[in-house]
Amino acid sequence: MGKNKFQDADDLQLTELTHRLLVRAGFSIIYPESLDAHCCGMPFSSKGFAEANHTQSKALEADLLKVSENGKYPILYDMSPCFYHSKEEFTAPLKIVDPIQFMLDFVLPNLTIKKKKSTVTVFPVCSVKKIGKMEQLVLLSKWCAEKVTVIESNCCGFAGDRGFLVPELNDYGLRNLKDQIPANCNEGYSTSRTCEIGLEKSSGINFRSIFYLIDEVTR
Amino acid sequence: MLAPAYQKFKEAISNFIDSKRILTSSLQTLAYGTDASFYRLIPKIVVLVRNESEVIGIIKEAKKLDIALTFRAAGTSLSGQAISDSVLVVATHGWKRYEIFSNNEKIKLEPGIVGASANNILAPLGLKIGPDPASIGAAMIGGIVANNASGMCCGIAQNSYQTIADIRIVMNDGTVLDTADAQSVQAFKNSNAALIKEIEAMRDEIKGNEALFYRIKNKFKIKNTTGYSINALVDYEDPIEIIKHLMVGSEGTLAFISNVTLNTVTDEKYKACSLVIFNSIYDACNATALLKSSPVSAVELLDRKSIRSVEQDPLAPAYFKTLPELACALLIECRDNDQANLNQKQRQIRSAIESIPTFSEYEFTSDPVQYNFNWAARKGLLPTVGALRKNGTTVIIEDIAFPLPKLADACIALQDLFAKYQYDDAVLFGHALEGNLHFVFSQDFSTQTEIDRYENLMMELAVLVVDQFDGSLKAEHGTGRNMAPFVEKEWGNEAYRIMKRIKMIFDPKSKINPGVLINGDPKVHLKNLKPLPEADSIIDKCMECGFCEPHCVSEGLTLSPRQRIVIAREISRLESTNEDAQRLAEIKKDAVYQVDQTCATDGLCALACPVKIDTGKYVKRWRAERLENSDKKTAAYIASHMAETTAVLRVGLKIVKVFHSILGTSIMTAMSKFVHVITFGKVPKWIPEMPKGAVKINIKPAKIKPTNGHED
Repeated sequence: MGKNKFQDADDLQLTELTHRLLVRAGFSIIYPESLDAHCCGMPFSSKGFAEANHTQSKALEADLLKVSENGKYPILYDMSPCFYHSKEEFTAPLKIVDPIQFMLDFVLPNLTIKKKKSTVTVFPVCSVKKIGKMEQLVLLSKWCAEKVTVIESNCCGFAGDRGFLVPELNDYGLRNLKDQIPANCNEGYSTSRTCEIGLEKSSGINFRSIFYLIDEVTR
Repeated sequence: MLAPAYQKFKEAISNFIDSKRILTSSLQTLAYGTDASFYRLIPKIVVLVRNESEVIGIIKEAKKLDIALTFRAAGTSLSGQAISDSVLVVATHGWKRYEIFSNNEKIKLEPGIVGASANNILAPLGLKIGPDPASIGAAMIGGIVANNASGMCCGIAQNSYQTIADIRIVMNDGTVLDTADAQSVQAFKNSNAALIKEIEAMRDEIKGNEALFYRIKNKFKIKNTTGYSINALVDYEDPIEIIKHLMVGSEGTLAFISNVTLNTVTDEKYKACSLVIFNSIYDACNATALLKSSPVSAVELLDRKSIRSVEQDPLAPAYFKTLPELACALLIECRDNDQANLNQKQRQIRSAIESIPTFSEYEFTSDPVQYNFNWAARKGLLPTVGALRKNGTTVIIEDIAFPLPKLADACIALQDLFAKYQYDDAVLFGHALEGNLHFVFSQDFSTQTEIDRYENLMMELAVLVVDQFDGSLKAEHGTGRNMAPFVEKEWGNEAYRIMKRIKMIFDPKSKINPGVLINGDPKVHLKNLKPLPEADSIIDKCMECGFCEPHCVSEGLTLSPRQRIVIAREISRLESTNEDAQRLAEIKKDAVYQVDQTCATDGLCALACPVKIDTGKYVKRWRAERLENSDKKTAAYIASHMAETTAVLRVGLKIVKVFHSILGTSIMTAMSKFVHVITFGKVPKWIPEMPKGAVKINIKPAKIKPTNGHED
């Protein structure tokens, strides 16, 4: 999925930005072949399409196994929900890493924080809570900003594409979002693009991947 | 169809309450009518109230029509005190305001605030609320106070009864009493002179009856929630103070609680605990008696069977597996704001029990891993029984208390009693320091033989607790419907008469939570038992405790995970019994939106669930079972043509963006709403925040070795 309405033409979209960020941190990147044909399978699983999910997940696992040379290289997921889904589905010995831990373990040690932001808002998506990475998310954010507001919330209710189909669930889930964001804060970060759509809608501020934040403060 | 009086009531309250919050459908009344107890009543109407003036209006209309009301918040109570077959008034959303004042010494809380949230609010100040029920992550202030709920550490020193500063209540005629407001108190005294006089008369009668006076004093030296908090009549002179304290533990049978002010208590910074193994339950109980006068914060008892439930844990000491059958553990905790004092406390505790041999050496720990293991061992007991029980059975937690000197004998007698009735899975644990024991076991209520077995157990339990050891039949869970038939047995005729008189002066026609706490039916504890039919292997272990509810995005919009499970069970029951085709059809129709479409399937509910049920997974299975073959084919096609799909979506989102830039937000919104509706919700509703199409990742797959040595 592409950029949001706050992002202008000069802004890189997430895939490009991630590429640049990793290269700056000294990495070479291996992409799976036929990247476009892959999906973690979660959109199918959520709708009850167990078989389609299984097919997708298996195909992804096989391809990742191949390009990572049987699990030799760590595999970065840029979205927490996809990571969580693969973590639940995969059986092969792959080193899959969630976006937060990857930044903490591999990227930040190789970059210098040049200009910390004064205030940012962070929304921990459900997968972050389910894998127990709340503390790590706060730690990562605090590397990048003086003041970090962590939104207290249940699931935002966007739930993949449910936010488009049953928008009242998303509105209800985020009914207390705006009140929690400090008045002087207009930057929100998370680790799931679909959640960000609803977060942006309910808060009226720019919600993007936390990779943008890391890229900005290290440049 | 509602009976005429209820129809009238509904119309009357519709004048001042949004009709969306007046629930009468088969699905909603069942879902909202369910609490954590093993009883089932289905309300005719559920009203989700948002403020006090709505409550006053409801009380007045109900009084006119002679309709009974039950008030509840989270519905996590266990004894059947939050259910109704008349009108259920739920005060959760809209009741979340709080105020800290008097130099942080007091916090005013509305009834819909979850106990743990109150503690989160107070934590930055190094403070907390006194009451600490195990359900604090879901239970709300209204119920915590109304049940005088308590847990591991608060004992009888920091429960709601001891820490209440003020209360605001709505009486059965709509009169408000706010004990923090002098004007309100004066007005109440003027308008309710007869009630005040009756309170004073009861107070003086008890004072003139030495035997009764000391019986009440003594019985509240240990935890007790059987019947009303009649210690209010011996502890206080002022009738307003008496009313305030009578409300604690009144289980919603006297008045509605609009807000409560509690005195805050210190939340000590440093904590240490030790799991100490004794050779017998006798030794453990005798040690507990010695610990009573040492600086402990909590002493929890775990019998041999309890320890068995954690012995496989990698953190458990190896010798757990080979402990003798008679062994018994105490989890001893101490706390302080100063590390040196904490160390001193550990030494004092050690010397307090040095006369009693322990099975093995013990150390206190503050290391988070070991500390958490010790408490996880204790807290995991209920879930263990819950998860191992047979489908269709319920989990029962007996909640009794004994004077501390009798605790050891009482434990042995209890174990014998449970063995006699073949409750082989029963585990015994509890807040030993307060003489409070819990027996947790599974119980089948689907056959008469099993109901009889439970009835006999209860009869003998009452004799054992009351006649043999002079204990409390309900220490901290409230009387409800479960112990109502035994209140007189425990308290004796004189005290019971006082309790009935209390009910009479606050609610003469018994229209406020009738049948709870005071009930003339000697078998009410065996009636209206909740069916727990098998529905799906993912959800069959659900105990309906409600711990999931605060963690669900759709709770309050449509249903919570617990409520989804309740509906799934009812559908399963109706499908297998064929007893009411129309009800089944109604529920199934509403379930499409309520159960399925509004579940985000995020699975956060599983994190809070004692038996780790992911209701989201269940809903996914529900969706799978209702899919048409054509849908499955489409999904399979999309999945096998993912590259084309992503390309189409990319272009699609770009086109949408172009249209947006030409048409503007309002036209796009209107058009998309129209399309969304005519496609029955299948085409996504457009919002301005819909992302632009992404640019295809244009980097050729390349196998280049990482340059920074991070490959491992």
